[in-house]
Amino acid sequence: MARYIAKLKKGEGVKFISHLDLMRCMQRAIRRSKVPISYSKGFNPHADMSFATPVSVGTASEGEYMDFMLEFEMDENSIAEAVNRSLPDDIRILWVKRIDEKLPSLMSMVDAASYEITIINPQPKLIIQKSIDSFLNRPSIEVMKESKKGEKLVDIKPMIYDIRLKSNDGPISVIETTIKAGSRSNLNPELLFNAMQLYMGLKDSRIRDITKKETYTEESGKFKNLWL
Amino acid sequence: MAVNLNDELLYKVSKPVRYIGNEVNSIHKDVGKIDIRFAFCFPDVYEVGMSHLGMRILYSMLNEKDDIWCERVFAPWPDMEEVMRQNHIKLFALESRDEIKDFDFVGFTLQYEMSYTNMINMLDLAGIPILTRERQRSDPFVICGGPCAYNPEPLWEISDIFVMGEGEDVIFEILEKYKSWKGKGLSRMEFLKSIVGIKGVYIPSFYDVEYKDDGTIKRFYPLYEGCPETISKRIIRHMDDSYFPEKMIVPYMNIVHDRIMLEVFRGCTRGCRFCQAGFVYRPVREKSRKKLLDDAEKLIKSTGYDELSLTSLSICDYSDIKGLVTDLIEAHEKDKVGISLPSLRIDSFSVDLINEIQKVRKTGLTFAPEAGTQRMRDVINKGVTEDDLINSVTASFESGWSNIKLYFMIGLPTETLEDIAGIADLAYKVADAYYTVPREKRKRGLKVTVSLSSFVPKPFTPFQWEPQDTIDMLKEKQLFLNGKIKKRHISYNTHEPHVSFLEAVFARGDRRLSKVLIDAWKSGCKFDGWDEYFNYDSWIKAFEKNKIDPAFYANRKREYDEILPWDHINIGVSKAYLINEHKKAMEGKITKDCRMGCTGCGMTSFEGKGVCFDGALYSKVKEG
Repeated sequence: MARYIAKLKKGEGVKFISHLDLMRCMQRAIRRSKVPISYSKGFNPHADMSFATPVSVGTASEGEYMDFMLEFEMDENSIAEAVNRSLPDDIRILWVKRIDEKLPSLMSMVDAASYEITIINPQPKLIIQKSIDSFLNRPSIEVMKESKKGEKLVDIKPMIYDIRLKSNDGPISVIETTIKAGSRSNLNPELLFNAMQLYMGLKDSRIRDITKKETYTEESGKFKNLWL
Repeated sequence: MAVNLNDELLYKVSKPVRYIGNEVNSIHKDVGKIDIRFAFCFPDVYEVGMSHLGMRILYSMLNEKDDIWCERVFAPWPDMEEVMRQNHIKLFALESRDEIKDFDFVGFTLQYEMSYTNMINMLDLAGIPILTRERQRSDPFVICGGPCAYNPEPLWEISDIFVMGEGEDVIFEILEKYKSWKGKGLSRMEFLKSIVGIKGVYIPSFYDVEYKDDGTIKRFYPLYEGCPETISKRIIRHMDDSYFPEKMIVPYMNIVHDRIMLEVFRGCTRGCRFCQAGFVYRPVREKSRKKLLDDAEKLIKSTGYDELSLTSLSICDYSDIKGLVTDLIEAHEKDKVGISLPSLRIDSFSVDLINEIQKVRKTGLTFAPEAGTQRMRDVINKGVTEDDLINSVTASFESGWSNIKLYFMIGLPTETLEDIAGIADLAYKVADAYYTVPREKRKRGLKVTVSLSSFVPKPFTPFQWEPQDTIDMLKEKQLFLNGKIKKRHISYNTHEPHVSFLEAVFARGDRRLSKVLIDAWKSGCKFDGWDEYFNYDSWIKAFEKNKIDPAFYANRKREYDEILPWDHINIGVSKAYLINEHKKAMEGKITKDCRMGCTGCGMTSFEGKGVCFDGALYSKVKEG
């Protein structure tokens, strides 16, 4: 048995697939590629693989990570090449690395993620760094969160690390943000956008694209890529 | 022309993955090199339509030809339809995103009556006139097939062309004629005339009908010379030579049947008298084990699926079933591919067989006793006994299954309350059988699900003359049974009787119902098979508006000499045979499985001797 991690890209063409869809797609691609993924024992064997974080329907990603076990050791580049040949063009393995079996699961290491959000906004003057800063300096940022159990008011302020205006070109604004992610605390970027709409007067604006740029782990107060 | 379906719109709808296409093994072609564009439409949502094997076969088969591009189209869910209508986006094909109104053919597969309004709605969304007579030269031809097409009459003024039977060969014959028609500037009528002589083709606008004062049919007749008096279905003679895809699309989303579907044989020999499939898909023709292993191998390789389902009616009747299952498991066990079987027939079910399958993966087991008493099962010719069922479920409990689903019907001809009480008794006996298995041998968590549907009399069955129980009678029977089932491990679910009633109306409907369909659609009916959209009141208003009594179709007993709306279609089983079967049903007499000797349904005189059991292992079939 040999443990590996891979960094993945979920492209624009498949951004509307769900996290489960992405996992199924990856499992089947690995099966087609004949890379010897290992299976759990029992009546319903499952491929031994997991993703570091879920990625939402509608979000593309350049920074997904996957943890998986093979029956025997294989060359890292050969794994990436074989699986990429079986994957749809819009999903790519960027690299594969052999790691120590004893390391904790990738999932447990995730603390934050960064996103690029492209907004269509008929009133460009409303999105400027100054208004973003005053949004961030509010004593609390409360927003309604819908869940299966119903609606709930939550304060998302502690979950936002930063928001930067990247570009403002006519009605198209691009922002970058780093927010909490992972099993301990997780903020959905669409919910963040809802809060911005509410407190920055962006009623008429809407999301054109969301791309997750990177997934991070925190080490002595600093964010670094989940794996380099 | 491609539609402008930008992402902002897809963010607004549920499950946008239904509309993005580009799945593994989907087929894209260069439009410039294509002569015929074919939109294969399934009148329901993506996850339902993609689970249909017939579409998978025809899609791959048509796309084998360089000059044909077949693409898929599904009914957009109502939230997507709203977005499309607001933004003037016409119905498009999944692969190219081109509007299907510019295609050469728009084909629909008719799997259930309650999808008819979706078909109309899809034509409207596409910008194609819903009536045959209003279509112009530039509009596509609308062509329909599938089991419901065997009674095409309720859709007679909506579909230009119907295909009776198996479409594999006939579709190419139609497309050949189309190529010689296209570009010559001839009328639509000219094209239809050029194909009306092809066996299996029915052009409803070339026929007319007169009615008697009592509402039954007086006369049905062709309007033009050269139109056949009866339209015979098409079949494939040798299944081993038939087309089966080596690659199948692997959807991103979880579809209803998310696995490889391997078709093992066509037809069924059991002769259950309620079952339309058992008559219209005759005769039985089998694929060889070698061909099936070959197909399975290719599909497992090209899809990466970890489950393969053997799909056919009454799967355990396949003459080489043990050999097939053993070989499949031997070949693919190491790759963790599970083999599954659809609803099992009780008697042919062998413990060895399930134990073979269980080695890899366990799924729930489904049995279909259909009726609660032996008398009732004899009437419907479901030739199984209570002992068969109890032996089979006991064997399954011993092998570690604990989740059993039982299918039953209510409202069957001659049914009494005793027959219904028998359903509860049988479910109890199944639960009791679980406790006869020693505790250490059985798996914990017994669950018996009784799934109760209402009988819908169908054309081309011995019960085609029978009235359906009224909605009130069906409700009463459901309540009666509900009162009888009171046990922790037995759960119970029923079908909505209003839906079964409408199915009965349209299954045996005639041309006068097309106006009702259109009016129901105009008042908003669509997705009628989905509880959340089914609106019975709108349907009743549509009947009233057209002064049509739906009970005339659903609840009336027909006489043998009545001209039935589908009498001009010939499925190969003779009417005399169906009448005899009906009489035997009323006498409670069973008819043997025709593997045990020919019962004379008419198929051999229809297709010639030797057509039955083509490809089957000789030792398993007695010669007729």
